[in-house]
Amino acid sequence: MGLIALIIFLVMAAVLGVMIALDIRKAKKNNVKYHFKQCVIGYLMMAPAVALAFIFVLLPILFSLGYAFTDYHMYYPNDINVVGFDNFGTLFKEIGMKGELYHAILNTLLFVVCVVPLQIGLALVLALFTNRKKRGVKIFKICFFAPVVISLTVTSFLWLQILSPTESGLLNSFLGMFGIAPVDFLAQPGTAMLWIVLLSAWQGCGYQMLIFSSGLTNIRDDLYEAASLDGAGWWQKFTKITLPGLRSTLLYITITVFVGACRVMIQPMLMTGYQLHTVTLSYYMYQLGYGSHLIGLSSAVALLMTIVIGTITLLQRKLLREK
Amino acid sequence: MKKALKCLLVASALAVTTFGLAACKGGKNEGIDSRTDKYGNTLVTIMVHKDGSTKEGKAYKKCVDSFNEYYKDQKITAQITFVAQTAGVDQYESTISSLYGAQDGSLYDVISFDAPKCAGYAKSGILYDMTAEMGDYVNDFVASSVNKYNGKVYGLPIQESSAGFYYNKRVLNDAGVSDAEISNYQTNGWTFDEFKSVCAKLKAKGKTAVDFQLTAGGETSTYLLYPFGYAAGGTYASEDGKTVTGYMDSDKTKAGFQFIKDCIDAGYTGYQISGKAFYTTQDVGMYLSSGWSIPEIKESYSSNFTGGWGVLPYPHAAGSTAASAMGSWSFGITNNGVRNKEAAALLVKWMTSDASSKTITNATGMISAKSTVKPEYTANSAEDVLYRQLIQNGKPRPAMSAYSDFSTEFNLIITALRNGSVDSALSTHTASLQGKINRER
Amino acid sequence: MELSREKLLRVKNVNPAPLVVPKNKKKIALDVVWYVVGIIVSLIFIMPILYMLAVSTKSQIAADRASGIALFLPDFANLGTFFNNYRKVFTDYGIWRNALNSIIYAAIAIVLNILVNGLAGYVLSKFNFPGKKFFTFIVLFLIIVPVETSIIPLYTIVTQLLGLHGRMTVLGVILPSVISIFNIFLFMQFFESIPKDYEEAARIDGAGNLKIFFKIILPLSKPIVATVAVFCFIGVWNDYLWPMMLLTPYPEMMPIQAVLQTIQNIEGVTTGEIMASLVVTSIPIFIIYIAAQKYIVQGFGSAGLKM
Repeated sequence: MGLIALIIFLVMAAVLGVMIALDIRKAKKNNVKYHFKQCVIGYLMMAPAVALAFIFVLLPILFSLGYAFTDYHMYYPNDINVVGFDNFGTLFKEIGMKGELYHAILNTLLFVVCVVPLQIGLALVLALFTNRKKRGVKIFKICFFAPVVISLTVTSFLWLQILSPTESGLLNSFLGMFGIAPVDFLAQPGTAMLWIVLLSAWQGCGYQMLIFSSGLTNIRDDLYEAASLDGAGWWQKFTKITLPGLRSTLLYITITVFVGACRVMIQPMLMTGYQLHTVTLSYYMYQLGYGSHLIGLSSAVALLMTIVIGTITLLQRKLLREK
Repeated sequence: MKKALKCLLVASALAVTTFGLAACKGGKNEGIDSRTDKYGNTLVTIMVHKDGSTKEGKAYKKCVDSFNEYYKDQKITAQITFVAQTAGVDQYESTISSLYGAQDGSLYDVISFDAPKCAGYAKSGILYDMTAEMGDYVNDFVASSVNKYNGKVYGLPIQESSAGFYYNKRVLNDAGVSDAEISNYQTNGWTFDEFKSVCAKLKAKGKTAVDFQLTAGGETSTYLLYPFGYAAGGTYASEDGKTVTGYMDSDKTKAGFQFIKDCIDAGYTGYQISGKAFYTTQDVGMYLSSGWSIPEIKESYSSNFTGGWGVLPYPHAAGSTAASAMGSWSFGITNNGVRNKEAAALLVKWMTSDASSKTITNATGMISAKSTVKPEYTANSAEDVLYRQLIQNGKPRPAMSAYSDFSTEFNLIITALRNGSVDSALSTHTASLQGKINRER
Repeated sequence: MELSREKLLRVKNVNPAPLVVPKNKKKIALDVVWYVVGIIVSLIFIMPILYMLAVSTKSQIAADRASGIALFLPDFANLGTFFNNYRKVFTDYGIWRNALNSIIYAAIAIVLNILVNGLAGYVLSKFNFPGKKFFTFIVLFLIIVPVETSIIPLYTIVTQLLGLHGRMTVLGVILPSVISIFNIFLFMQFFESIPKDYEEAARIDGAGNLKIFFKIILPLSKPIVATVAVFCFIGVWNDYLWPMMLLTPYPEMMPIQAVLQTIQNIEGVTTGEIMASLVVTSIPIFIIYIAAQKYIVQGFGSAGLKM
């Protein structure tokens, strides 16, 4: 493994060297000067970050890429063979047979499609709601923000108790007051995921609300005043002033919420265990690696996920920028 | 041009990585002969799966300390490490496999492992074949407890376990189930139909007849429910563990699951029973659980059972032999690069001796796996029922290298039983499991 | 729709007084509605948290028997056992040890985080050197790639490549939290907005690069430093999967989230104890959020806009 790391390092160093050479040549052409001492100091100051990023960020990603083409099994760490695209063949076959991967993709899709608009919409509404200089605003803000304080792990455990399928569960005792029998919220194939969407949006929207809030404060008040004078209604104000003013914030938030949603794993893992109606891509990938011990196959899933998420992220950037 | 060059270079880096990985197959260490500590004693390391502050962890420490005391003159010391299992076996296992890769003695000489994992560890070489070192010692154990793979010995059980149906005596009596009837079932066993008739009586009184712990999830669910397949005369896999089609979806195995499904359909059990309901209320008649519940009830919940409580054995299909759950953790020696296995063998023998067995089972409340330890229990007491069940009809979980996949699929079957038929649940998941077995090495 | 400054200026000269009187009634009505809606939504938002706090004070039997509004109220009936769960969680389960671990790890990670990422961000924003494009490209690339997918190779790297065993494994937990491509990006953006004049004045005075960084840039970047510090703390505090994977053999070194699962699995643990452990885990973060609210909002403002 050390050998591979060294090779990767040398390759990257070589690429860097080429870039440096090209830059120096370009500078010479345009008669721009580089201060040698500055450059050396610059590289030195960046060195710790580069070293750490190389070891803990870049290497794992590249290794993961590499493992995707092998049959690495956890019990056979000294017997790794390259199998080319076989892993991907296995994965696509499983999708075709409507196996666990198929369900994972559907569940993740459902989650992302529901949670992204819900969480962002909620955050925006709350940000607009608290965008007033009134006495109780701070308290409201704290209340809306409170769920963010609880980590996702704690949230999952907490909601597990709330959604408990017995009469003593919070929600069920509430329903019990109307004479409805206890419902097992997390066991219904269709709705389990929706509850996870709900609690995830609940937990996260306060965070985005803060970002929107600060984005809102950067929109000049006089724009609104001028609009009122022109007889603009609140909807027009919203679409013509607020939204454009928040554009870059919106872009940032959409990308981060989207990427975060694609990687959902903790909630189903802690709340329902490995079940077909709540398994997500990340959870499936984790289970392949730690349950079935097939690291090669698990890395192949990771690679596919990276490609898909990366592509969609780039598309989002293009789309939201052009608007 | 620059961008293309960049991309080309990055791509070639990736290619180099992949092929480099292939080239990096060996790199194995030469290994060492034996390990010594700084005082010159032969050092043998052992890893257990419990935290050092738990009762069981302390019991292990006690055994290791007495080992060190006994072997002081022979200059052998054992060193124990506690690698507490947190979220399932995942992290414990990745510790084992990552240390195993180094092959330089960093993996502990002796490890504890969950019995069903034996096949996977043995096949991949993680566990050392100790048939020669153990010899006739294996005869001191309950026969089906010894962990074997392909006829060779790879593990010896730390303790044994059993499970049964705990019952609330007053609730059963009130429903018309007499003490004589209960005694009869405890002594002679009972059939699926007899079980269901008891459930019907309980249901008629408005009680939840039985809590099968259907929502326990993980290995607990598999452990508690797998015996029903055997109790109906069915089986799960072929001898070599490589085929499940035709075994797990056979008619008799289906009958075992059908029994559970019948209880669900008839309303005797369900997926929404509160975990502690049997302990804290009078609403549940029976509760399927392992031997662990005995100390739990005695310590914390005896006030709930003013009329008394006890344990009933697993029921079986009429015409089949009974079967019950068994299996706990075992000790094994690892192939960690240390060549001399003498000290490790001594430690394993010590940790599974009658004395150690008694120390450990006193702490855990489980059953000793030694046939040489013959406990005296009051007839038909909870401990007695479980012990006799273990000796008479305990059947271990199916041995296959893809055991964790079996457990996952088993859990999915239990969930599928909620809304689907036994047929579809078993065929789908047997096929899925067979696919997973086929993709193993 | 015309939004001209001239129009606005014209409007400001008009006396708004005659318009005030009828507007008041409508305004009050809107305000009331606003308050009511706000209170209802706030309650909905914090209900689960109130529930958590309430159950944490109850014994198992009390928790099972509560119903209706009592679900949200702490167990005032049994004041004697009010803090029982907390006591048990602290003493028997030793959660304080793990909380201490988390605090120590977080403190180390924060300091290193600011230094390492700050310096990198500084160089990337202020310096011009050959090969700069290479690094900026990598920074952007790494932000997009999800990090969680590489958790398994990361484990192999830490245990085999770096060969971290025993107590040193803790480095494997802290160091990855130190490097954050996202933070480098944040620092880059923020530093770009600091005018060159400060730097140049310092250079004229003969200050070296490091001195400029510590004496000028950092003090000017209080909002972003505070933001990074706060989020680094929260990140380390809430980290569950990675420390659990790495520190399983060393439970006394585990940070607090990882031990939550252990507590869940302890035989005989009650719902109240679980809730108590959850509350204890969340308190420090809550305090930090309230105290550092200003900085967080400021930090977001400068970062979010520049994307």
